[in-house]
Parts: sequence; C-alpha cells; structure tokens
Amino acid sequence: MLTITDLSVVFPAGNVQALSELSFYVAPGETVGIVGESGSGKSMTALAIAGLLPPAAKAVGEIRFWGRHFVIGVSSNSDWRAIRGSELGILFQDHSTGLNPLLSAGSQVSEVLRFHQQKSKREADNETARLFSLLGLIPAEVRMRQFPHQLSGGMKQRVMLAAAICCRPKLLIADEPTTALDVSIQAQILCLLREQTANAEMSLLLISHDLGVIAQLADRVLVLCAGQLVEEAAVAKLFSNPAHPYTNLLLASVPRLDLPLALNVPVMEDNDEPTNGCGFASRCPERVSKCIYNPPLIRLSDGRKVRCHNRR
Amino acid sequence: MIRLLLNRLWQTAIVLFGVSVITFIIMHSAPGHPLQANPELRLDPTAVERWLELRELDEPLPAQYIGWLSRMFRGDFGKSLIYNRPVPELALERLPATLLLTVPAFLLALGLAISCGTWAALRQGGFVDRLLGLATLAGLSLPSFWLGIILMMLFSYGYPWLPASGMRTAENSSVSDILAHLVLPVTMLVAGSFSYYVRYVRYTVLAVLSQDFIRIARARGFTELYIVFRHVLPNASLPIVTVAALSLPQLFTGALVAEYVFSWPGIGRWIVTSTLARDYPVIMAVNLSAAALVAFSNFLADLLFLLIDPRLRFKA
Amino acid sequence: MRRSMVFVLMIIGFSFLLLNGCQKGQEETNLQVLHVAAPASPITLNPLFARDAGSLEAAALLHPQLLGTNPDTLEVEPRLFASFELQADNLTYLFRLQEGLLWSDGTPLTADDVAFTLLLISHGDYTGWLYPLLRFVDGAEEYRNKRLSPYAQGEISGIRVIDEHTIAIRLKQLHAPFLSYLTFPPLPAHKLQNVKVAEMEGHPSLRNVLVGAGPYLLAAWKPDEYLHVRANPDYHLGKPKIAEIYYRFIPNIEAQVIELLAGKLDLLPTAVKVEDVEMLAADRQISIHKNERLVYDYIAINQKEEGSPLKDKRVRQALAMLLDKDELVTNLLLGNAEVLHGPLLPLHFAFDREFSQEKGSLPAARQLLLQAGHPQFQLKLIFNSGNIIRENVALLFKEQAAQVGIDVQIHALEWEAFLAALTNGDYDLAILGRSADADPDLSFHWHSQGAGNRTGYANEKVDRLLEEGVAVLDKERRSELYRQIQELIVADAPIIWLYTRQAIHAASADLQGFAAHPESLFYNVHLWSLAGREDGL
Repeated sequence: MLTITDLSVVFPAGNVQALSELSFYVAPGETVGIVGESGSGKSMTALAIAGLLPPAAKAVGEIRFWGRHFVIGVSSNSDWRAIRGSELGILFQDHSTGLNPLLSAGSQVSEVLRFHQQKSKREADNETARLFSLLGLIPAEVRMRQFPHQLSGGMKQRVMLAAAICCRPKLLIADEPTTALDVSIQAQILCLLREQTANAEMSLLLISHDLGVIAQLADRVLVLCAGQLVEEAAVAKLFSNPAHPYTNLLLASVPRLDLPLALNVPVMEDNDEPTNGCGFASRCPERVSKCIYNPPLIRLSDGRKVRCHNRR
Repeated sequence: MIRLLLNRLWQTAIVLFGVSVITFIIMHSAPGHPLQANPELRLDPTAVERWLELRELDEPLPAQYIGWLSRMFRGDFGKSLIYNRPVPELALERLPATLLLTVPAFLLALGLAISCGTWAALRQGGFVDRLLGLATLAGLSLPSFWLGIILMMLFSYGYPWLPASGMRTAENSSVSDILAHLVLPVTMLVAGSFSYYVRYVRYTVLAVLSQDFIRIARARGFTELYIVFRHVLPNASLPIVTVAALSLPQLFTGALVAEYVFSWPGIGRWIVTSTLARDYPVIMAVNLSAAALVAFSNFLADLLFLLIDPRLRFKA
Repeated sequence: MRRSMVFVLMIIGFSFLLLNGCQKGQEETNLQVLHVAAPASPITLNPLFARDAGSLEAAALLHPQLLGTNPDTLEVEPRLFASFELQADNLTYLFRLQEGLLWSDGTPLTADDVAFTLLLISHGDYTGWLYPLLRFVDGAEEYRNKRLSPYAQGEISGIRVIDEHTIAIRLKQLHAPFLSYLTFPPLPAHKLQNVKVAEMEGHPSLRNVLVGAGPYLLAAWKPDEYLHVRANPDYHLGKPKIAEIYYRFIPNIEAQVIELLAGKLDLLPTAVKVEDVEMLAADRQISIHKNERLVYDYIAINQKEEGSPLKDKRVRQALAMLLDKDELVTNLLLGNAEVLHGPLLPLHFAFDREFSQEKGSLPAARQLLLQAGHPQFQLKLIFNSGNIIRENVALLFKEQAAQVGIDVQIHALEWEAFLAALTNGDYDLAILGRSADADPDLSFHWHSQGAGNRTGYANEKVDRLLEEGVAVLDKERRSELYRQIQELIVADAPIIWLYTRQAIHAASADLQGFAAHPESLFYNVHLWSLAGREDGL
C-alpha cells in the first residue's frame, strides 16, 4: 500500500513548480495510471516516490509505503535504499541508454538479485534465466551473455523489466515504459507488464502520456496538469465521461481513424508563467473569470475527484 | 586479434622508418659535428679527422644512414660517440633509477587522481570539489621547477628532514635511505601529473554519472560505493586508460625537470646532455625507442579497450 | 579493525626510526669522508681522452701528474718527475722519475710507462687533445704520420729511455712553454700495451681506471650519481689524510647550496654564484675560498661580413671604449673578477698591471665612428641564454652603444642555436668565454696559424714576435716580448676584453688545506683534511 500526502516539488533555480500538493494512494494489486502532457509532473512523481529527485529540486511531502514512513527532505538516502530495487521496482523509458554498456544483460539482472537477496552467483543466474524465459528473452542462456548493444530496443526493455521485478517488488513504477518502442513491441511489453503484475499481485503505478496505454492497463487514473492533480477517476468513467476540460482535451488529442487528422489535434500552447490560478486556464475552452483563482479538488457524487470551478 | 597485431606491427615499422629518417636529417642539418659542440676544445685537426674516420662520420650522409640501418637490423644500436660505449648499455644503466622515480609517481598520481576526481565528481560543487579545483589550477600553473625548489627549501633546508639531491648516500645504502631520497622528487612529479589527470577523471566521471543507467542503478537500490566501482569507474576508464597510456612512454624517457632539480641519475638528463653533445647514435636510438614506445602504448591502450568495452570487442 | 590500525602505525613509526637511525649511523662512521659537489658527471675517467672539464677534474683524483705548476706563479714544479733539466744543447730535457713509484696493482711505475704514454699520444690513431703539445718533440710528427702499427709501439727519435727512472726528450727546436705541457699523467704500459690505440678511447680499463697511481683509487663510479674514491696508500706525495671522497654530481646549483648548508656537502667548487657569497660567508660553518683562473670573458667581433662597419679598426676601437669595465666588475660581479684590457691574464708572469687601453669616453668613441664614416648602424649581439651576467653585460652594452648612434639588437640563444650562429657567422658581436694557457704564449689564439684562431686574426709582426717568444728561455725577455705583442693585438681591437672571473668555492669550515689551483680543483688533495672530525675507523 502506497500513500502520498501533499507532495510538492519546486525547482528554485528556474522558479518552476513541478508538483504541488499531490496526494494519492495505490492499493495492493491495483494498477494506477498517471497521465498528463510532458512537463505536467508525471516523472517527478515517480522520482519523488523513489527518493531520486535531482539535487536541484526542493521537495516536501510524506510517503507511506507498506508501513514504512518517508518524509521527503528528511529521510536519508539509505532509508530509501531499503525499498528501492527490492520492494519498489522502477522501470524507465530509456531502453537505449538504461543498461550499462559494459556488462552483459544477464549480469545486470543477477546483480540486483545478488545485491538485495544475497544470492550466490549461480542462484542469481538461475533466477535470471527463469525470468528471461518468462519475459520472452529466449534462449535465455544466449540472451544473458549478450551485451546491450547486441539487443533490440524491445529486448532491452524486457531486460530492464526483468531487473525491476526480479526481487518481486510490492510496487512497480513504470515511467513511460513503452514510449520509445515500436507499436508491435509496445503491445508485447504491456502484455508482459499486465501478466507479471497480475501474477505477483504487484501494484503498478503506470505513468504515460499515452491514453491508449492507460486504458489498457489501469484500474484508476490520475490526470496531472501543471503539477496539479486535476482529475482522478476509475478508468472506465474517465474515458466515458471526462469531468475536467483538460482530460477532455487529452482524450480529444488521441488520433482517431474516423475523423480527418487536422481537426482533432488542438494546439497545445506553452504554459504561461506560473499563476495562482488554474494551471489550465490559459488554454481552457470553458474558462470563466473565477479561473484566476485555483479551484479546490472536489469529490463528485460518483466518487470521482476533479479540480474545476465549472464542476461544482 | 592477430590481424590487429600484424596491422599494428606493419604500421609501426613504417612510422619507425619515417622517424629514423627525419631524426637523421634533422640531426645532421645542424652544422659541424660532435667534437665542435664545445667551442673551447683544443683539438688538433688531424686528431679530429682521424676521430671522424674511425667512427665512419666522414662518409657521405646516405652511406652513414644505410650503415646505421644495416647495423640496426643486426640489433646493433651503435656506440655513443661521447661515452664510447654501446647505447643500450648506457640506457640500461640509467633505466632502473628512472623507473624507480617515474613508476611510483605515475601510480600514485593516477591512484590519487582517480579517487579524488571521482569524489569531486560525486560531490560536485562540494568542498572537496572546490578545493581540488583550486589545487589543480595551482598545480597546473605553478611551474614544477619552482615547486621542486620550494619543496627542497622546506624539507631539506627549513626542516632538514629529507635529502635534496641524488638517489642514495652511498653504494651500500639501505632501502629507507633510497626511500628518503625518493620522497621529494616523487612529490614534485605527483603534484604535476595529478593536476593533469584529476581534471580528466572528474570530467569523465561526471559524464558517466549523467548517464541514464547510473540513475537506474540508483533506482535499483545499489549503494553509491557499489555503483561507483561496478558501473561508474569501468565506464569512465576508457578515457582514463587513454590518458594513462599516453603518459606511459614518459616513464621510460624520464622526468627531466625532476631529475635536474633533485639530481636524480635518470635517463632524462642523459638524453638531454647527449642531444646537446650531438651524440648521433644516442639521439637516433632514443628517438626510435620513444616512437616505438608510443606505438606500443597505443597498442596496449587498444588492447585494454577491447578488454573493457564489449562494443569494440564485437566490432573487431 | 582497530588492531590493524595500530599495526600500521607501528610500521610507520618503525620505518621512521630506521630512517633516523641510518642517518645517525652514517654520521658516526663516515667522519673521514669528504663530500664534494660537481655540476656535471664526468664522461670518462680517461685523462688522455677527456674532452670536458668534469672528466678532467675527476681524473685528477685518480691520476698523478708528470709535472705540476705552482698555483700562484704557474711555474713548473716536480711531481712524478722529481727533477728535470735542460741539457747544454738547449733541446734535450732529462727527466728523472721519483724512486719507488708503484701502480695500484703493485707494478713499478717506470720510464717505460712514460715512454708508452708519449708514444700513445703521438700515435696517428690518438684522437685526444694532447697531441698538439707533443708536436714539438723531435720525430713525433713523423711517428704520427707513419702509423706503422695499430698499437702504441715503435720509436720516436726524440724520446729515449735511459734507465728505469730516466727519460730524455729532445725537441725539434727550443720551445719555452714545453715543460708546462707535461702536466698529464702516465698510463700503465703493462695494462694497455696490447690495446689498439684506436680502441683506447672507449677501453673499459681506462674509462674506469682499474690501475692508477693518483692520490685516490676508484671505489665506485655511479654514472650521474657520484664518484667514490679511497685514499691511495702508495701515493708518491704521501697517503692522503682524507680516507674517502664522494664526488657527487649535482647539476642544480640551488641543491648544492642547500646540501652544503644542511651539512651534507663539504665543498662546492668553482661555480658559487656571486650573489650567494655574502649569505654563505655569514654562516660560521662555511668558509669561502677564491682564486684566480686562466679564463676570461670577451665580446667576439665578426669581421668576416662583407661591407660590415666592423671591418674598420676605428669602429672596433670605438666599440671597445663603450663599456665601463670597472663598473661592470664592481656592480655585476660584486668584485669577484678583474678587469681585462688585453690577452694577458694576471696569473701570467708577463702580465702588466699598468697596462690599460686608453680610458675611453663616449665622445671619443663617437669621434672615431664619425672618422670611420659610420655615424649610425645596427649590430646583432648574441649570447647563450641563461647566463645572467652575460645578459646584463649585453644590456649595458646596448645602452652605451645607443648613446653613440649604434643600434644593438640583443639575441639570447639556446646553447645549440648559439653554437650554430657562431659557426655560421650569423652575428656581429658575441659574448664568449675562453681559457688561456698556463704559459703566456699567446700563439694558440693570436698566431695567424694558431689552432684556436677562429676569428682569422693575422698580424705579421705579432706572428714574428710570438715565434720569438717561445724561442727564448729568459723570463725577462719573454715578458717584454709578450707585452709588446699585447700592445699590438689590442691596437687592432680584434675583440673586446671584459674581465677574468675568480673561481669562488664554498667549503665547510672543517676543510683544511684546501687551496684550489687555477687549473685543477684537487691540487694537493693529499694534504686536505677535515679538522674536528676524528677518524672513526
């Protein structure tokens, strides 16, 4: 069980508010999706949970993870290290640069096992081989001996997935896990993700700008805009009946085959200077005068949460 | 692998031939001959003539070069014109002292540079990093000659703890006596090359640290120390190996300034005096060996690259 | 963990103890050891083939001299030759060796060794520096040209071994300076007879002096480190008082001074910097010694360039007037030199202390230049970079020259480039140093046929007087002749004489009996002693 309370991240140097007072939870076995355009704070959320925020960032907030309590800015690196890699797995987007080019694929998975579970080299290798077969890296013995430059993008992402889940973490954070992959490979990786999390009763925090990906995997979706949670809803409700105009816009910008292309891609303007008001106000088609004040997050009658003056 | 070696050998042979020709031409383009290097020398013209004749220096230059080349092929480096002894003998006489000075200095400088440079990169902008920045700036801008003199003033005169010159007190000197003689010249050498290496190390380590796989290694919960040794340093080692290999020939050609300042009986002083005295066979042998050493170091670096980096291994 | 730390600390502590212990130990057992600094390592210890000052100095420790010269008067003194007399024919010298001379391997040193050495030097394959001195021996030239055997065998008509201790040398004609040439050592015939003369230069037994008869015997020669020698109990002038000498090669003068101050060196010979003298003299443990030398600095004038104003004697005379040499010696050399106006040095018996060129003035120089029709021109002055004194001389000269309308361009050149410029004649003026002979005979530099006359100076009258100068024995007459010669040469203004510098030595105050010779540092080294340092052995 993961609970995030009032997580804020600021980059003082650029006067950028990356996240503001974000709170949410992930239940055991649940898959929570986070969507938002780039810069909305999705990845910051993932880093904050793992205690891996860049040194330039100033952050506050609390995180509870299976009975452990982390206070951002107070808890030390070694506190985080106790969960990273073992109880908390992270899968990043960068399959091309995410593996150490000097080490074989197998050793980069088995080192995680040996580091966290004190397994012998042989035990770790066996476990890695099993995982490789499971993830379709076959023949496993050959793949294990290969080096990153000898593997395709999809295979690299599978290796990284193997490294992230080899210790059977309670929560897997997947940050844009398929973004840089071919469409056919994307589907395979998503499939694997669903299988593995389901089999191991792993919670999954899936971060993506791709609503298609979210729709396939997530039980519940958080929509982030300019560092704020603007909508939270079960996946079906969100897609059928988006409450926030921003969610609307995101849904509308998914290319559709039944409409001419030019019509359905609204121009995403750059966010203006940070204001006290709604972060989406400058682009909002339903903007009203109140929007210069930030609306509170309100719970709608169907259990959804939304941050918009027009939904009261 | 074998092909690489053969290729290199072939290239090296051509380079060495070129070096020998160029050295020979430059060496002989200066007017006069070794006996004229000292203008106050009172030699009878007939004696000079005979001296040149006995050493085949009266022959036309192409004949001299071919003679030298044919002797080289028989493994004969010739005799020093000044010392009248085989060149290899003179070099080997001085090589142990040289290596005794340069190898520890090199290892110490490299070891210190790797540890300090990595530390500074990990704590970029921290106290150690800033201190190091200042120290390397000083180390690079302060002439090593002055540093040597200052060290000598401090530790041989102000606090007379260490000897200021030479390698030992007498033939039967103890190990500790030689070590005491080593301290100051090694310090001077380390100070010089450390500043040079540490900037490289810091820069490369920073470059590696900014790579995604390091961030991901952190996300896998490895400790910093583990990450540094298993992931950062191996990836930073390619440029460091290059720099180290480049300075390898200097281990053999000596550290002239340190040898002069601390009167170390190394090979550098011999090379300089021989060059000034126009000791042709020595100049040829030294230039050729230096070129061969450079080629060998590059080859060694290539081999190390192959060992370290699988990308290169599989390409080859 | 903690235990291993303690262990490491103990090791460090122990090694320091060891270190300190060693230093103390050395001080206690090596009381009779003298440590002398040398700026450069010798190249060979073979005195007949040495071509550098370092080798000659070092060889002097290991070899005796046939004859010596007095350090003050440069008059010839007995050494291995206990007596020497000129026969009635005024051509033949009869030399008697001291009795009981021994090589270090126990073989007697006899007239045969001397004859062998003379044959060796006269041999056609001998490539050392001594042959020009033996040209005057009757038959030496023929022997050299014939080259009958590759070994130093055969006969020179002018050399005759009379008995074990006596040898006669007959000259072609009377040559007054001849005796002063015989300061070289004999070599052991029994060791070298079977070595070809052409191979003698690099021969190991000569390079390393396995058999000697000098004041000291070789213990070890560590190239570029030191020469370690032990007193020769059989030295013919008496066993040296100092048991061992380390002649340490320290190219860095600063290090020499520091080692002297730290008590690790006992003698810095010859090249102490003038600016260090005061500081060193203030130290009670150190005494400063000075002596005159047979060297001088001068400005060479290139007269070979076509159309150069320097071809005009008046221009050269004007140039010679520019520098105030007294000021130079007082301010630049802090008095450790003597002003020089001509080729004779203060050590020469012919030296004339009254002699000085016309005390020049800038207006007089200007007048001369105008007379010569060269009111304004440029000159290129070169010197070897790194020599601070010469650099200052150059600057001073430029300043003075500017006042009479001469634009002097100064070029400080690296040694190699400097030599090349000298050889190619790519200069107008060059600051140089040179050495003079012990005998006032000036032929080497100033006779038109002199081997050292590289400027091409030729004056028939000077030639004639120089030839007369070596053909008479009477000192008074010779003095007169050389003073005349000096007048003539200086009137031609072929070079600008500057000064003759003193050798400045800094020694431990303990060192007694040290009195350097103008030509040899280790003069009478067997009489040196280290007072206050008891013989610990």
